[in-house]
Amino acid sequence: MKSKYGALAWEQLRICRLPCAGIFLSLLSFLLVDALGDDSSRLYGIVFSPEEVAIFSLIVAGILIVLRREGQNRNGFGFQNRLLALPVSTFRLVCAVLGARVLCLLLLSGAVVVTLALYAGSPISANRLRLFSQGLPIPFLLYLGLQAWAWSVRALRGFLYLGLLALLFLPSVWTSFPNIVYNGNMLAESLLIFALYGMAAFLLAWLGVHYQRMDRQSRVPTIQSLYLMITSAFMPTKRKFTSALDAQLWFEHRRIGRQLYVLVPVITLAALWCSFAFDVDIHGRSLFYFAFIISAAITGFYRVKTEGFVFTRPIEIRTLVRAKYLATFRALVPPLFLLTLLMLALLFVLPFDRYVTTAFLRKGIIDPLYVAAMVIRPALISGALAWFISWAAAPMITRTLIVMILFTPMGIMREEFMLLTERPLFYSVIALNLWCIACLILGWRRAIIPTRVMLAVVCFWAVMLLAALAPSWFEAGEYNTGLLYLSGLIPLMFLPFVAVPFKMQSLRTG
Amino acid sequence: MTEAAGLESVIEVRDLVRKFRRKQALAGVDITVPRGVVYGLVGENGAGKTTLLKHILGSLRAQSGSVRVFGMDPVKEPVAVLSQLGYLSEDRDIPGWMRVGEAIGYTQAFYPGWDEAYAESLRERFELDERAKIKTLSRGEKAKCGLLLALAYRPPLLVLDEPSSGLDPSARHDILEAIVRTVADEGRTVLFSSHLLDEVERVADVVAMIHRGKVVFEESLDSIKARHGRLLVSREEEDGPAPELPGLLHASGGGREWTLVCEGELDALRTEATARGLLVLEADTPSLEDVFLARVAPGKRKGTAS
Repeated sequence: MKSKYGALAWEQLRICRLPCAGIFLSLLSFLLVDALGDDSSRLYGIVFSPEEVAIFSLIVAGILIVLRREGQNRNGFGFQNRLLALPVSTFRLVCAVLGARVLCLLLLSGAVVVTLALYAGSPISANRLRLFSQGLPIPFLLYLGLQAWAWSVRALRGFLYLGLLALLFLPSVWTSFPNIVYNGNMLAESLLIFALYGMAAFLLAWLGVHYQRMDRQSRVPTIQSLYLMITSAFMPTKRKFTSALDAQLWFEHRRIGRQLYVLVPVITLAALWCSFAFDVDIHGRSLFYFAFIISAAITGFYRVKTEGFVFTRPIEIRTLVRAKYLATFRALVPPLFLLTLLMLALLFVLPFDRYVTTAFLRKGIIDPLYVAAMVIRPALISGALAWFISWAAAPMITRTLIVMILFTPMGIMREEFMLLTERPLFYSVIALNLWCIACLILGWRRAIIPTRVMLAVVCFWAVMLLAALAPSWFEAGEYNTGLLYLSGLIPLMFLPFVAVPFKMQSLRTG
Repeated sequence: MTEAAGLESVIEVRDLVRKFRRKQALAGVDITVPRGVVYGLVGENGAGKTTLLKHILGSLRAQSGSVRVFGMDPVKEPVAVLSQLGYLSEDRDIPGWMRVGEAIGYTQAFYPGWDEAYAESLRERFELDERAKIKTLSRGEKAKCGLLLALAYRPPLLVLDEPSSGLDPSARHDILEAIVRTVADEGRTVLFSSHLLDEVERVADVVAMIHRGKVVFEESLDSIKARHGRLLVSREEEDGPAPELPGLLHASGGGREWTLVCEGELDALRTEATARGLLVLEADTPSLEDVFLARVAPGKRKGTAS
């Protein structure tokens, strides 16, 4: 490759091709489901138009390009130091890199437009395409803004806080943007606004890279350093542990556990802010469960991974796994307890719930079934799901999750949930149970699962399976459906006890 | 193969084979590390040193062959092996979110024989702030912290993977060599890999050289030196290929003067060179680096003219 700008563009195209291809394939699958599926294939009846999905996918592609990792364990969020050392002027460097990335996004949007035109059929509805084209510049402008922010934030850290502030106002800008830009015959003004915005973003990106090249560092502290400053004031620097388990439990909790405490309120606040900013009605009760389960899922991706450092310590796999279980319990139980208290409080706060609760109280009775249905049952279900999803990174759990995702629309999502359609699900649940027990015994034989854990789990499973296989199973309707889910849910809850020791064993010996 | 095999051995590796997909990392490695010696492992990048050390730690399962550390299989009995072994990894893998004090406290919990006073003296000697986060430390400071964690429970076996990497020369001389020698003088064993051959030469008692997954030689440093010779010779002809000598490993130079690194006793080599009409200007034992370059360095084989 003779031209250095050509080489730069080629490298950027290589970097961007994976997120673009991924997004395009996701769009294709969405259109396929939209074309072939019926209402039951759409999640809870929330249906987006293909145009909305296309715009949304372009926005996601832009975000992915900004966040694209380059090389192992490297975050490509900032401008790469390696590129700064190239013998190219800053202006041309930024032009080449940003231009190549925008070109990628353009190519993707071209592919999206063609696919959408083919999907909509011929002759394509002019109104539909017009609406689509009105929204098309938005992903580009968002990408430009985000990329410029990412490249300039290290040198001009004031933008970190400015960016966060801008995020607060984003929804109102977002909703009013198409009206401002495309209002009747305002095309020239729209182009001017776009051009000004693009130039401002480019200027910011150039300034950020320029300062970075001059090794100018902002004196404004980062959020992380602020956090460290605050925590170091309260935390002891030297710790004494009574045993290896004690030390490992501290390690696991510090590494993953306590993040959940931060994530739950952050996600809840973010969701509340979204509901306020976008004027979306969010069910107050489900919001907290949602935040809890999502937080568990996020931490779950890191929970099973263990730093190589641990495996050079003389620690038994059983102790390591036990520390992980305990740390997970320690992370999940306090938020769950608070969640239960909150749900109880909501019985007196939410208008409808307050009406029902006060009606019960006036009669002088407290219906335990009502309290259980409103507070305990959802807490138990969300707790169980959060526990299961906390181990998402263990391969056995991942595979089971994939099977569940594939089977769920066939079973749960269908309203006409009949005994005949239960059968495949029933057999898969039985197979899952047997598979888990086989792995459990294997783990016990390899001495990575303690005997008492193995016996307890096998006994529990045996009881559940016997109950599930009872003759009444094939006769009655709703009761059996509940039992089916219970017999499916129980092994899922116990699956981590099988999956995690195996994962740790394989991590230790390569 | 090894003259060290006669002593009581701490590590025994026999016919160890490891493949990563198509790449043969280890192709039948045999080494024996006797008790109480400083054992240096040298080789090029990608020769298989770290892979071999990972097998010794039990971080990799042998695909073929056997690994014994204190007579135990490190994969089957990791706790028993690791509790007698101090390890400093090449990439200084102490989690970045820990503070120095926390890393010390955490590691202490795994070793009943942890010497708190010694750990504190090492921390002061290395000038490590116990409040500092690991990720804020320089590469050299991380190495020192790793060394502290590996040494403070006085393990009978110390395994160091590229310990000098990132250390400045004074730290290398004053700290690493002093510590490694102290450990060995206490009757403990040190196995370390390094690219810095002059450092290996100063510290190691026994050296094993790995090349493309195979052990080229494994013997004491004195024996290696006694087995090789370096001659600076002059000849009458101006042109022509490098002079030939029995056991010639590497020839560098050009024109009339050549430096020859050969396998053989120095006196015998000198006699042979004279018999072949070469004028021997200098004859001495080569450094470990000369032997290394002569044996394994690519593009530096016989007849390199400068």
